[in-house]
Amino acid sequence: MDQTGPAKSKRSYRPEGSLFLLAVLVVIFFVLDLFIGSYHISLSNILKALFAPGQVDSQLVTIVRQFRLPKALTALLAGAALSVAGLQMQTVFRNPLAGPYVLGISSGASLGVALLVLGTGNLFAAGAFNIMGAWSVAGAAWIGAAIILLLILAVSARVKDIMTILILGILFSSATSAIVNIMQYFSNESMLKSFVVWTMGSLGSVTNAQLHVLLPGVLLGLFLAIISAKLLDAFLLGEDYARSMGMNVQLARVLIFISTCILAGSITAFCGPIGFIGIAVPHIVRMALRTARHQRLIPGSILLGSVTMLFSDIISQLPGSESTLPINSVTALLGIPVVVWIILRKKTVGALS
Amino acid sequence: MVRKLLFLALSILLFLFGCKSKKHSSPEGKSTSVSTSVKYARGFTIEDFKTYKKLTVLNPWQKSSGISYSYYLVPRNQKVPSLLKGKNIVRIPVRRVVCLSTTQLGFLEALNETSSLVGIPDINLVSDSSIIQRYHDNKLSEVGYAQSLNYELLLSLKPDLVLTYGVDGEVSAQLNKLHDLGVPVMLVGEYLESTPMAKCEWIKFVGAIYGKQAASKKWFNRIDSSYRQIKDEVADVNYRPKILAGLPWKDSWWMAGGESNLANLVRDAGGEYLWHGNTSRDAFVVSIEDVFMKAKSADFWINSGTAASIKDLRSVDGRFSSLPPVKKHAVYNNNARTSAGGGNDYWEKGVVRPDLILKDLVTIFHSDKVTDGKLYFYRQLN
Repeated sequence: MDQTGPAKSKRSYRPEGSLFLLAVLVVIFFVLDLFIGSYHISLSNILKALFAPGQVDSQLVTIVRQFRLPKALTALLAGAALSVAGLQMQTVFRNPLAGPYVLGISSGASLGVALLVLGTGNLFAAGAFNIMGAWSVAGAAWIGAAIILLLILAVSARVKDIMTILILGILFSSATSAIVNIMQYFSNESMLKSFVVWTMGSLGSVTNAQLHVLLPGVLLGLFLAIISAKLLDAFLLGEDYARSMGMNVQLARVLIFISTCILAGSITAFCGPIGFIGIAVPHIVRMALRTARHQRLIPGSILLGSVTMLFSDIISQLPGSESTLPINSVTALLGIPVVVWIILRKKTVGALS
Repeated sequence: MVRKLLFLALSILLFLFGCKSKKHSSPEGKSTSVSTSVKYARGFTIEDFKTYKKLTVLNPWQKSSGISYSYYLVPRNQKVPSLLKGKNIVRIPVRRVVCLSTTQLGFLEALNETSSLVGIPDINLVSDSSIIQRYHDNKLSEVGYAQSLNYELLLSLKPDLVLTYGVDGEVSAQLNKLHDLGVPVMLVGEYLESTPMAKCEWIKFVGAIYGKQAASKKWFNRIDSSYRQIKDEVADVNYRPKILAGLPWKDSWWMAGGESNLANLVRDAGGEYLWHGNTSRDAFVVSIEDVFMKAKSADFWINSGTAASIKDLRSVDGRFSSLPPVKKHAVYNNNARTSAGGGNDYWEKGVVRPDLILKDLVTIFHSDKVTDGKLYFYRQLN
């Protein structure tokens, strides 16, 4: 029994068709993302590098397998993870402008990275401070995000009202941002630069070895989201309604928060905080599929999120030039118009169906 | 192609505008001046008048054009000439100096004037042991960085002169504030010079404020001939190894331009910088896959930033393992002389001893050319 939104049409509308179309788009954009880069490689050489590496120059194989493939896979995972995390947060908080970072995950991660990057020079003798390796940055981001998650969960277990949790999340974020600001203020140029570059987001620095960690993490988060689809449906009608249905609201909240944190936290750890995708994609999916059922919205968000992120990555490569754009600028420029349009279009904030 | 055309158009414009002589309303009137000759540096001029000297800094921050600051140096034992009323006056020789960049310290060290130093940005960035000793003897304070500069502390040091530098126009706010506080401040723009000897030549500029023009000239000439001698040794080598330099931030690589100080050093040392065709003096962003395509032919990798070992390089990005310099351990970093706090002498003494930097690079690129084979600023990563 489909719960269709206010835009209920006379024709019976089947979301499956849209989902199939999105899946086709994912494949097309994935191939495009492999094909388009600052260094031109022909499509046949890309296919050879992937499936018959003996037939092309070994350097081309390296570029395709070690650079473009992990980057495209990372874009796919990041788009899917952030969109699903954003969808969950919008539903739980019943707020159309909530996103994957509403719980303060990105500020927690930023604090972890800031302590590592900006703190090392001040806390330890700089001579002794080790390189900012890719793994250490990811680890620091994850620990920072996890600390905020534990705080939120602790609060969530005691506080009944969801809005209180939202406000506390914003307060935690502000507090961590303040600490990060102080650290930035006292940092020298090169530390500052490496931190600022981290905040701009990056897909291309994720290597195959890191994907081995990122992929299972995202899959686990998505699995948790899919099994809580029914719970999410109940949240749409408000927590009191969910309680009256006999649902353990606090337990459901914890499950959804953990899923969101695994999704947003893993992506933030390896790619930095990537904005706007997680807010904009769920709205487009709701409109395109004309449904409020999470069993449809979750796969929709996975697919559209992937497409959007792959598309953003293609743009950020500035095809044909040596330079690149930071991925965060691209996602912001794509996402902001959507968010503005949502704000202008919403007659009542909070009604998400 | 478009970028090349743009650059060409810009160069022509700059040339045309540069040829227009600017009419300064100068207080000198008709008094005659002798200009101290400046051989390489583009960022400053020195004019000698009977009773004072005039130092002018041109375009003192990146992408600045048509901007200049003039300073009038008047010996302490003389009266300030009335025609200099309202100008930036510095009484020389200066006795209490604050340096806001550690690259300025090299000049003080070369001129034997570190005893005049009363303020530095951060002791951890200092490499020179005599300056570190002064800090431990409480003769020297840390005044902080550009945005977190402690003005009260700076003022309490009663400096005769603050040497600062500008990354962009923002510095003019700092200049105005110091001016309002009555602290004489001077911009030093040695970091904008695109050749190592031009950087070194700023010793004449710093020498002037200590009244040590002869000593600074002597230093410059000695280093200049030493530098050229080393450069001549490799001027006509047939084998020019290909050089990769720097370290990326995530997946973007700020590559030193083909006309930058680093590119010029590599060229003078008989190497071929991988981006030698680029015409920029500033760094530009290159995507990491482009770097890899170019770097597959690299022979050496230099100035690997914070990476202190081959393992560090791999931890920054595991894919570096496949680059020839990493495979052959032909990676050299310029941090052999780093203090316990992390201050790197390359940015300090290296400014006034570019001949030693050049000798290091020749030793690395052409081991058959240099007799002793010892490295000074550089070390091989293992």
